[in-house]
Amino acid sequence: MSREQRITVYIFLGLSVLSVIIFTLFKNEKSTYLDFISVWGSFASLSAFVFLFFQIKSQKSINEESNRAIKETKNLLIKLFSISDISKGTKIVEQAQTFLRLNKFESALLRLKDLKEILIYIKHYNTKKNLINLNEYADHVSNISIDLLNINDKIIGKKSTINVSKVISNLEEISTFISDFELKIKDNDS
Amino acid sequence: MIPENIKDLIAKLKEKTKNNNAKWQTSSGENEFQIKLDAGKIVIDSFHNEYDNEWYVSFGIYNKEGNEVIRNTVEQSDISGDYELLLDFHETVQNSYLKTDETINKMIFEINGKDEVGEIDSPLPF
Repeated sequence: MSREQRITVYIFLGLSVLSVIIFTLFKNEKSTYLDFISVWGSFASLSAFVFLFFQIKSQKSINEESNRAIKETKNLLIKLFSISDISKGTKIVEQAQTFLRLNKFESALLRLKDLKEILIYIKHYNTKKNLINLNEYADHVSNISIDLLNINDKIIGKKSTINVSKVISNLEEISTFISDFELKIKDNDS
Repeated sequence: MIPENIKDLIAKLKEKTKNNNAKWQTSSGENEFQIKLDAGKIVIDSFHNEYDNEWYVSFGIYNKEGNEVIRNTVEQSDISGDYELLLDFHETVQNSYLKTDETINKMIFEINGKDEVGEIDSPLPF
Protein backbone atom coordinates (compact mmCIF):
# COMPACT_ATOMS: atom_id res chain seq x y z
CA MET A 1 0.00 0.00 0.00
CA SER A 2 1.41 3.39 -0.98
CA ARG A 3 1.90 6.28 1.41
CA GLU A 4 -1.01 8.16 -0.19
CA GLN A 5 -3.33 5.15 0.10
CA ARG A 6 -2.41 4.73 3.79
CA ILE A 7 -3.13 8.41 4.43
CA THR A 8 -6.51 8.04 2.68
CA VAL A 9 -7.42 4.99 4.84
CA TYR A 10 -6.41 6.86 8.02
CA ILE A 11 -8.48 9.87 6.97
CA PHE A 12 -11.43 7.59 6.19
CA LEU A 13 -11.17 5.82 9.56
CA GLY A 14 -10.70 9.14 11.38
CA LEU A 15 -13.71 10.67 9.66
CA SER A 16 -15.79 7.51 10.42
CA VAL A 17 -14.91 7.85 14.11
CA LEU A 18 -15.68 11.58 13.91
CA SER A 19 -19.09 10.78 12.36
CA VAL A 20 -19.86 8.39 15.26
CA ILE A 21 -18.83 11.07 17.80
CA ILE A 22 -20.88 13.78 16.08
CA PHE A 23 -23.90 11.45 15.80
CA THR A 24 -23.57 10.46 19.48
CA LEU A 25 -23.19 14.08 20.66
CA PHE A 26 -26.00 15.55 18.62
CA LYS A 27 -28.51 12.69 18.48
CA ASN A 28 -31.99 13.17 19.95
CA GLU A 29 -35.09 11.04 20.22
CA LYS A 30 -35.98 11.52 16.56
CA SER A 31 -32.57 10.54 15.23
CA THR A 32 -32.46 7.25 13.37
CA TYR A 33 -29.66 5.11 11.95
CA LEU A 34 -30.48 6.62 8.57
CA ASP A 35 -29.31 9.99 9.98
CA PHE A 36 -26.04 8.33 11.07
CA ILE A 37 -25.59 6.84 7.61
CA SER A 38 -26.20 10.31 6.15
CA VAL A 39 -23.48 11.90 8.38
CA TRP A 40 -21.09 9.00 7.78
CA GLY A 41 -21.82 9.20 4.02
CA SER A 42 -20.81 12.86 3.93
CA PHE A 43 -17.47 12.09 5.57
CA ALA A 44 -17.02 9.07 3.29
CA SER A 45 -17.52 11.38 0.27
CA LEU A 46 -14.87 13.70 1.69
CA SER A 47 -12.48 10.74 2.01
CA ALA A 48 -13.27 9.78 -1.59
CA PHE A 49 -12.27 13.28 -2.73
CA VAL A 50 -8.98 13.00 -0.85
CA PHE A 51 -8.42 9.57 -2.42
CA LEU A 52 -9.21 10.98 -5.88
CA PHE A 53 -6.80 13.86 -5.33
CA PHE A 54 -3.98 11.46 -4.44
CA GLN A 55 -4.82 9.23 -7.42
CA ILE A 56 -4.62 12.14 -9.87
CA LYS A 57 -1.40 13.37 -8.28
CA SER A 58 0.09 9.90 -8.44
CA GLN A 59 -0.95 9.43 -12.09
CA LYS A 60 0.63 12.77 -13.02
CA SER A 61 3.84 11.76 -11.28
CA ILE A 62 3.90 8.40 -13.14
CA ASN A 63 3.40 10.21 -16.47
CA GLU A 64 6.21 12.65 -15.72
CA GLU A 65 8.50 9.80 -14.71
CA SER A 66 7.65 7.87 -17.91
CA ASN A 67 8.25 10.94 -20.09
CA ARG A 68 11.57 11.57 -18.38
CA ALA A 69 12.65 7.94 -18.92
CA ILE A 70 11.60 8.06 -22.60
CA LYS A 71 13.48 11.33 -23.10
CA GLU A 72 16.62 9.97 -21.41
CA THR A 73 16.55 6.82 -23.55
CA LYS A 74 16.01 8.88 -26.70
CA ASN A 75 18.91 11.21 -25.81
CA LEU A 76 21.15 8.25 -25.08
CA LEU A 77 20.31 6.64 -28.44
CA ILE A 78 20.85 9.92 -30.30
CA LYS A 79 24.14 10.38 -28.46
CA LEU A 80 25.40 6.87 -29.27
CA PHE A 81 24.24 7.14 -32.88
CA SER A 82 25.74 10.61 -33.29
CA ILE A 83 29.13 9.76 -31.77
CA SER A 84 29.50 6.68 -33.92
CA ASP A 85 28.57 8.67 -37.04
CA ILE A 86 30.64 11.72 -36.14
CA SER A 87 33.75 9.55 -35.81
CA LYS A 88 33.26 8.49 -39.46
CA GLY A 89 33.43 12.16 -40.55
CA THR A 90 37.16 12.44 -41.15
CA LYS A 91 37.16 9.22 -43.22
CA ILE A 92 34.25 10.57 -45.31
CA VAL A 93 36.25 13.76 -45.93
CA GLU A 94 39.20 11.72 -47.21
CA GLN A 95 36.92 9.70 -49.52
CA ALA A 96 35.22 12.85 -50.86
CA GLN A 97 38.59 14.49 -51.53
CA THR A 98 39.79 11.39 -53.41
CA PHE A 99 36.61 11.29 -55.53
CA LEU A 100 37.04 14.99 -56.34
CA ARG A 101 40.67 14.51 -57.39
CA LEU A 102 39.51 11.70 -59.70
CA ASN A 103 36.66 13.89 -61.06
CA LYS A 104 34.10 11.38 -59.75
CA PHE A 105 31.59 14.06 -58.88
CA GLU A 106 28.56 11.77 -58.34
CA SER A 107 30.39 9.81 -55.63
CA ALA A 108 31.80 13.01 -54.11
CA LEU A 109 28.27 14.47 -53.98
CA LEU A 110 27.02 11.49 -51.94
CA ARG A 111 29.93 11.76 -49.52
CA LEU A 112 29.34 15.49 -49.08
CA LYS A 113 25.67 14.82 -48.28
CA ASP A 114 26.78 12.31 -45.60
CA LEU A 115 29.15 14.91 -44.25
CA LYS A 116 26.43 17.54 -44.06
CA GLU A 117 24.32 15.11 -41.99
CA ILE A 118 27.25 14.63 -39.64
CA LEU A 119 27.52 18.38 -39.20
CA ILE A 120 23.83 18.43 -38.28
CA TYR A 121 24.41 15.63 -35.70
CA ILE A 122 27.21 17.71 -34.24
CA LYS A 123 24.87 20.63 -33.77
CA HIS A 124 22.25 18.44 -32.07
CA TYR A 125 24.86 16.82 -29.87
CA ASN A 126 26.22 20.22 -28.94
CA THR A 127 22.81 21.67 -27.92
CA LYS A 128 23.55 21.70 -24.19
CA LYS A 129 27.32 21.54 -24.15
CA ASN A 130 28.72 24.55 -26.06
CA LEU A 131 31.62 22.54 -27.47
CA ILE A 132 31.59 24.28 -30.85
CA ASN A 133 31.94 27.84 -32.11
CA LEU A 134 28.55 28.44 -33.74
CA ASN A 135 29.96 30.97 -36.25
CA GLU A 136 32.55 28.47 -37.40
CA TYR A 137 29.88 25.76 -37.56
CA ALA A 138 27.59 27.98 -39.70
CA ASP A 139 30.52 28.75 -42.00
CA HIS A 140 31.14 25.04 -42.59
CA VAL A 141 27.43 24.28 -43.14
CA SER A 142 27.02 27.12 -45.65
CA ASN A 143 30.25 26.14 -47.43
CA ILE A 144 29.18 22.52 -47.75
CA SER A 145 25.75 23.66 -49.03
CA ILE A 146 27.44 25.88 -51.64
CA ASP A 147 29.83 23.06 -52.59
CA LEU A 148 26.93 20.60 -52.93
CA LEU A 149 25.09 23.05 -55.19
CA ASN A 150 28.17 23.58 -57.36
CA ILE A 151 28.95 19.86 -57.64
CA ASN A 152 25.32 19.17 -58.50
CA ASP A 153 25.40 21.91 -61.17
CA LYS A 154 28.57 20.34 -62.54
CA ILE A 155 26.94 16.87 -62.68
CA ILE A 156 23.81 18.09 -64.47
CA GLY A 157 25.94 20.14 -66.86
CA LYS A 158 24.71 23.52 -65.71
CA LYS A 159 28.30 24.52 -64.88
CA SER A 160 31.20 23.38 -67.03
CA THR A 161 33.83 23.92 -64.35
CA ILE A 162 33.96 24.31 -60.60
CA ASN A 163 36.76 25.23 -58.23
CA VAL A 164 37.65 21.69 -57.07
CA SER A 165 40.66 22.83 -55.06
CA LYS A 166 38.40 25.16 -53.07
CA VAL A 167 36.01 22.29 -52.28
CA ILE A 168 38.97 20.14 -51.17
CA SER A 169 40.24 22.99 -49.01
CA ASN A 170 36.75 23.47 -47.45
CA LEU A 171 36.63 19.73 -46.72
CA GLU A 172 40.01 19.89 -45.01
CA GLU A 173 38.70 22.61 -42.72
CA ILE A 174 35.62 20.51 -41.93
CA SER A 175 37.87 17.53 -41.15
CA THR A 176 39.82 19.64 -38.65
CA PHE A 177 36.55 20.89 -37.15
CA ILE A 178 35.25 17.31 -36.69
CA SER A 179 38.54 16.05 -35.20
CA ASP A 180 38.57 18.97 -32.81
CA PHE A 181 34.97 18.25 -31.82
CA GLU A 182 35.78 14.55 -31.20
CA LEU A 183 38.63 15.52 -28.89
CA LYS A 184 36.33 17.88 -27.00
CA ILE A 185 33.73 15.11 -26.57
CA LYS A 186 36.42 12.82 -25.12
CA ASP A 187 37.67 15.56 -22.79
CA ASN A 188 34.11 16.37 -21.76
CA ASP A 189 33.14 12.76 -21.04
CA SER A 190 36.33 11.87 -19.16
CA MET B 1 12.12 39.37 -60.21
CA ILE B 2 14.54 40.28 -57.47
CA PRO B 3 12.65 41.80 -54.50
CA GLU B 4 13.28 45.43 -53.55
CA ASN B 5 14.92 44.62 -50.21
CA ILE B 6 17.48 42.42 -51.98
CA LYS B 7 18.15 45.19 -54.52
CA ASP B 8 18.69 47.54 -51.60
CA LEU B 9 21.07 45.05 -49.95
CA ILE B 10 23.02 44.67 -53.21
CA ALA B 11 23.27 48.44 -53.70
CA LYS B 12 24.63 48.97 -50.17
CA LEU B 13 27.10 46.08 -50.39
CA LYS B 14 28.25 47.22 -53.84
CA GLU B 15 29.02 50.65 -52.42
CA LYS B 16 31.00 49.13 -49.54
CA THR B 17 32.86 46.87 -52.00
CA LYS B 18 33.73 49.80 -54.28
CA ASN B 19 35.18 51.64 -51.28
CA ASN B 20 37.28 48.57 -50.41
CA ASN B 21 35.42 48.13 -47.13
CA ALA B 22 34.04 44.67 -47.88
CA LYS B 23 36.27 41.60 -47.54
CA TRP B 24 35.26 39.02 -50.16
CA GLN B 25 36.58 35.47 -50.43
CA THR B 26 36.56 32.91 -53.24
CA SER B 27 34.06 30.07 -53.17
CA SER B 28 33.75 26.70 -54.91
CA GLY B 29 32.13 28.07 -58.08
CA GLU B 30 34.66 28.92 -60.80
CA ASN B 31 33.82 32.66 -60.60
CA GLU B 32 32.07 32.58 -57.26
CA PHE B 33 32.71 34.91 -54.33
CA GLN B 34 31.33 34.97 -50.82
CA ILE B 35 31.30 37.42 -47.96
CA LYS B 36 30.74 36.52 -44.31
CA LEU B 37 28.60 38.88 -42.27
CA ASP B 38 27.48 38.52 -38.63
CA ALA B 39 23.94 37.79 -39.85
CA GLY B 40 24.94 35.23 -42.48
CA LYS B 41 26.71 34.84 -45.79
CA ILE B 42 26.20 36.31 -49.28
CA VAL B 43 27.32 34.49 -52.43
CA ILE B 44 27.55 35.74 -56.03
CA ASP B 45 28.55 33.67 -59.05
CA SER B 46 28.66 34.05 -62.82
CA PHE B 47 28.83 31.01 -65.08
CA HIS B 48 28.26 29.75 -68.60
CA ASN B 49 25.92 26.85 -69.34
CA GLU B 50 27.20 24.95 -72.35
CA TYR B 51 23.88 23.16 -72.95
CA ASP B 52 21.72 26.22 -73.55
CA ASN B 53 24.72 28.46 -74.35
CA GLU B 54 23.53 31.01 -71.84
CA TRP B 55 25.40 33.05 -69.24
CA TYR B 56 23.92 33.05 -65.75
CA VAL B 57 24.42 35.08 -62.59
CA SER B 58 23.49 33.49 -59.31
CA PHE B 59 22.98 35.32 -56.01
CA GLY B 60 22.47 33.49 -52.71
CA ILE B 61 21.97 34.32 -49.06
CA TYR B 62 22.72 31.92 -46.19
CA ASN B 63 21.44 32.55 -42.67
CA LYS B 64 23.57 32.47 -39.54
CA GLU B 65 22.84 28.74 -39.12
CA GLY B 66 24.39 28.16 -42.54
CA ASN B 67 21.15 27.32 -44.37
CA GLU B 68 20.36 28.77 -47.79
CA VAL B 69 17.45 31.19 -47.47
CA ILE B 70 17.50 32.93 -50.86
CA ARG B 71 18.81 31.90 -54.27
CA ASN B 72 18.27 33.97 -57.40
CA THR B 73 19.70 32.62 -60.64
CA VAL B 74 19.10 34.85 -63.67
CA GLU B 75 19.97 34.10 -67.28
CA GLN B 76 21.41 36.56 -69.78
CA SER B 77 18.21 36.56 -71.86
CA ASP B 78 16.19 37.86 -68.90
CA ILE B 79 14.62 41.19 -69.80
CA SER B 80 13.67 42.40 -66.33
CA GLY B 81 17.06 44.06 -65.74
CA ASP B 82 17.92 41.64 -62.94
CA TYR B 83 20.72 40.02 -64.97
CA GLU B 84 22.44 43.38 -65.57
CA LEU B 85 22.04 44.30 -61.90
CA LEU B 86 23.61 41.05 -60.65
CA LEU B 87 26.30 40.99 -63.34
CA ASP B 88 27.34 44.53 -62.45
CA PHE B 89 27.48 43.51 -58.78
CA HIS B 90 29.54 40.42 -59.65
CA GLU B 91 32.02 42.51 -61.66
CA THR B 92 32.38 44.96 -58.78
CA VAL B 93 33.06 42.10 -56.37
CA GLN B 94 35.50 40.41 -58.76
CA ASN B 95 37.41 43.65 -59.34
CA SER B 96 37.58 44.24 -55.61
CA TYR B 97 38.81 40.72 -54.86
CA LEU B 98 41.40 40.74 -57.66
CA LYS B 99 42.32 44.38 -56.91
CA THR B 100 41.91 45.13 -60.62
CA ASP B 101 41.61 48.94 -60.40
CA GLU B 102 44.39 49.14 -57.82
CA THR B 103 46.72 47.12 -60.06
CA ILE B 104 45.90 49.22 -63.14
CA ASN B 105 46.44 52.47 -61.22
CA LYS B 106 49.78 51.26 -59.89
CA MET B 107 50.84 50.25 -63.40
CA ILE B 108 49.92 53.68 -64.77
CA PHE B 109 51.80 55.34 -61.91
CA GLU B 110 54.85 53.13 -62.56
CA ILE B 111 54.82 53.77 -66.32
CA ASN B 112 54.47 57.52 -65.79
CA GLY B 113 57.13 57.66 -63.08
CA LYS B 114 59.91 55.65 -64.68
CA ASP B 115 61.90 56.28 -67.84
CA GLU B 116 62.37 52.58 -68.32
CA VAL B 117 60.08 49.78 -67.16
CA GLY B 118 60.33 46.01 -67.16
CA GLU B 119 63.27 43.67 -66.56
CA ILE B 120 65.66 42.03 -68.96
CA ASP B 121 65.50 38.28 -69.29
CA SER B 122 67.94 36.40 -67.05
CA PRO B 123 71.18 35.63 -68.94
CA LEU B 124 71.48 32.24 -70.56
CA PRO B 125 73.61 29.77 -68.57
CA PHE B 126 75.89 29.04 -71.59
